[in-house]
Amino acid sequence: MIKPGMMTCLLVALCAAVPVQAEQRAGTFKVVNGTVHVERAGVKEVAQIGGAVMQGDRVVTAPDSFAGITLRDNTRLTASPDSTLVIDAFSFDTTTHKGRLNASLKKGRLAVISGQLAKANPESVTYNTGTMTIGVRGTEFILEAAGE
Amino acid sequence: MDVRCKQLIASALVFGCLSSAHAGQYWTSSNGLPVRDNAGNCVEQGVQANTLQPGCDAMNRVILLPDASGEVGAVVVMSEGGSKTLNTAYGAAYQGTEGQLEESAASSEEVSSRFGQLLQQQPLPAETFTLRFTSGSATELTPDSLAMIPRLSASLEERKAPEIRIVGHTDRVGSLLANDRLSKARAQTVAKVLNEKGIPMDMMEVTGRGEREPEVATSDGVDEPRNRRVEISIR
Repeated sequence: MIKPGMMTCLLVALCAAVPVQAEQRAGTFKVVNGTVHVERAGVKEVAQIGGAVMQGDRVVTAPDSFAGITLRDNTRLTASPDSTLVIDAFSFDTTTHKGRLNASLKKGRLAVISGQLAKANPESVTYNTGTMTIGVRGTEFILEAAGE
Repeated sequence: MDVRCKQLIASALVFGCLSSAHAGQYWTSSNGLPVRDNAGNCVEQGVQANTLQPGCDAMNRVILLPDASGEVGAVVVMSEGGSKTLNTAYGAAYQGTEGQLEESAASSEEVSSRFGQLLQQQPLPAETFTLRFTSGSATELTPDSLAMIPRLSASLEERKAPEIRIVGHTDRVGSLLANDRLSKARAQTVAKVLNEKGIPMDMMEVTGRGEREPEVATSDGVDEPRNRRVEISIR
């Protein structure tokens, strides 16, 4: 049986956890087709639809697998099979639309539909592939990376 | 020039043919990049390659696409070897074998053959609903706005792991800071209304943009009802 005190504690924990997580989150997995892993702070986990994408995450798609991520500024990132994508930095202020997005495609292919950050502050958004750095002026594009 | 080379010129999308191809399985240009046919496939030495092969695929490249409405933005590509701006549909830049930056257009045919499957996997775009209040009320939505709620529910149902962001906006009467607070209060009002219709509070992110994003541009201090609104964005 749950005691009244325990219930309050549980509710407080939930109420505190949700908004904090929402703030730290860079984005959310909307498409996981096949096997996709996320490496966060040295720990490798299987990605799930609805799961969080955080700054610093390395997203790895297996052969025949796709991953679709919507970031908090509505940027949409879609990775092809055999890809490795790193979210190097992400921040987004929903009031001012200021923030930063730096991502690197280490291997594979990535389709990008840019979001509110690129619209409001294009200089704050960059993508890397190989030795190239791509600055975005509010647009859609595809990246390819040969891998190391 | 031999017959083989002439065939390559006829079929290669971008690059010319070299009589002496680099070591490897595929025809390559002077930049060390694969020669591709009209479908975007690499052209194998000796035999025409019908399928993509790993060695041929490996390149660092960016291809600019038109957006859903057909408009084309721009990307600036920077490298040790300089910088290039792409601003035409299917414009592309790639890293050559020596690390140099090269420019060479792709085509819609190559994009659909090489990236069609990838583009089909993209998450759904965010859908935005604009709600307004009846005149002088901060809590009562107009009949038109109330009628949008079923459409909003339908948009939620078609999505996997849906998220809702509720963004309040103001006109330019009052200070920036005061309007930030007011816009957030408007968004909170809408969140309560949606919550009463059965949408859990923790699915909604509530924020205010103040006077930063007017629907109708005005001078500071102008009372403009069309700018006093709340946008619900579902993604």
